[in-house]
Amino acid sequence: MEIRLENIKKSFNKPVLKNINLKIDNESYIAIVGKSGSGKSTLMNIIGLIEDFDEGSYRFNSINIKSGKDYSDIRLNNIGFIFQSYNLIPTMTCRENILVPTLYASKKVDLDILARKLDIYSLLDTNVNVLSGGEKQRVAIARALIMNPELIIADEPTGNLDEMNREIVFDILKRENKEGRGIVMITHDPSTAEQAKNIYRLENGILEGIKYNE
Amino acid sequence: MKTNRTFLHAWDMVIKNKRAYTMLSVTILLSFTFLLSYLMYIDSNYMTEYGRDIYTDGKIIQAMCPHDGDNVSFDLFLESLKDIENTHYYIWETSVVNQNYYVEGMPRFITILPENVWGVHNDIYTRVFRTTDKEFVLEKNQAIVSTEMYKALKKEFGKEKIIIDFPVQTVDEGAHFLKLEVVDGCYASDIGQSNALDSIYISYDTIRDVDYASDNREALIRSDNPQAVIENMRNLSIAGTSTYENKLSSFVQILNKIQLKHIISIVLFIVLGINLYSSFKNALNDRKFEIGVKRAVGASKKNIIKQFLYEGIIVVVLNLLLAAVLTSIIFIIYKIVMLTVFDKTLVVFISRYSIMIFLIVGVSMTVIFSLLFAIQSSKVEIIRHLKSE
Repeated sequence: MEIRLENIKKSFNKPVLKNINLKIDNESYIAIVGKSGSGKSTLMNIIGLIEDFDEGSYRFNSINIKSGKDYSDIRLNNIGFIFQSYNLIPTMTCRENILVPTLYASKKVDLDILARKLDIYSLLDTNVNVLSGGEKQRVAIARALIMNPELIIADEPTGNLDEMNREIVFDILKRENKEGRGIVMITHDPSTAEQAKNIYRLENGILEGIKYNE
Repeated sequence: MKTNRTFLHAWDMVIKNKRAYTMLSVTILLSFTFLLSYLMYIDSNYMTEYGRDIYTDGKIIQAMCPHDGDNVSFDLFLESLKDIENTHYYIWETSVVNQNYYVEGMPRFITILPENVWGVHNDIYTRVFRTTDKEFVLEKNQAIVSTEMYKALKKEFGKEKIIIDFPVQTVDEGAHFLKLEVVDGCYASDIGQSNALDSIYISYDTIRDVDYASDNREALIRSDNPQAVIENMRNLSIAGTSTYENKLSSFVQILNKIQLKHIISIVLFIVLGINLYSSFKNALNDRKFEIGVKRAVGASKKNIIKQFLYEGIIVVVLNLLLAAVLTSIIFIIYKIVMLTVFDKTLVVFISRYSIMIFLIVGVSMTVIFSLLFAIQSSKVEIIRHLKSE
């Protein structure tokens, strides 16, 4: 997998992103930090193909991403989202939430192995409303991984978790990265950002690298 | 396979979101029940008022011989029937009992029928006979009376033959006694008289040699071309009635009322549509988060449209069926109440035409609003409806 963002611009009444350049591949573990309102979520949404950009170029593998088109197919098969607020559907069980992406694909998946890996096997038939924050986040991670994506986009994945569960999530992300998944993490917490190999700061619409690890 | 999965998922989501769909369901159920009840109410009223005439065999004509004794025109009319294809008739007459011998409780009329009578059924309002499958034969000196009279006579005579002397009025105002064997009892509807109690029935064979005073002479005609028979009647100034004309008149009345039914149905259709649109919109508001999540994890707009189209169809169809059941229950209760409280017999009926209107409205509502619902759902912005801190 290779993602290239070149000179990406985005404005909402005023410029939010100015000439963003970023390269992501299977080995990337990137953290993007910045203050609230700096445009981190906007950048994440653009990378995740759920928001359009105004100018610039975006290539996802060999595909030239055009603004205004729906790339749900790429999202489905190549990208897994982890949200700070989990964004689990409250009327469904854990199993049903995890399997939502499979409704739209013919791919065969092994839920049991994934559930055991994330230590949520016993929760599969429980409604998500009764879960703790840590359990919910693991269910959300399972949903992000069920289609075996090449890229995981995590928006403040540990923002609502206690210390123990934060560590669990960090371990999961580290493990997935080692297994060849690219990770882009958005956070305003420096200690969370430290988990990543590369850290970028987004300030005044400019993306600046502040830590690089090979 | 994918379609099955989407349908099953839609079904599952309808059940999971039953609270959100309750308001929509109530709206749909009440609206369709109202529409169907309206159609059924109108049709039931039509059937109660005109049903007998609509479903009658429109081929029966009753022609009456003029009372001034103009048998010539009547005979000419009967002769003309031979030229009309598939036209059969028989003559029947009434005579009266001699008043000097009349006793309270005995029949006042004597109805003279052919030996072989097609089964007839009397309509007491129009005095036009309708046919049934029942036939009977009256041999010479045999008579049939009303059921009540027959029971009374059986009681009196026991196992012996019921032989009575019946005083017929003659032309010279005298009395001629007919010795008759009463062989059966019948209801008015079987024999063709407004009140069977009032008459005794014999065949022409029995009275052929008697100079009886004829009170009324009629022809009961059955024809595949009733218009031709009616035209001949008019040309020869023969009075009469026909199930054909009754049927036609009823249809005209109904056609006028159907136009009003159409207008009201269209108005109901529009009101129903506006109602449904608002209800679907409200139901969608509760699902925007779910749609945002599904779109974020890879559902295309087409996937969302399919899911919500199925959900819309499921909800509308289920409520359509429920409306049909509810309407039936309402009308059963209505019929019982009308009978027990108001002593009125109501015919509960819905025509094929009304069922067609209901189905057309139902199907078009289902398709239109499910599609609108589905298309609206696909336009939900992903980011706006996801939760974020």
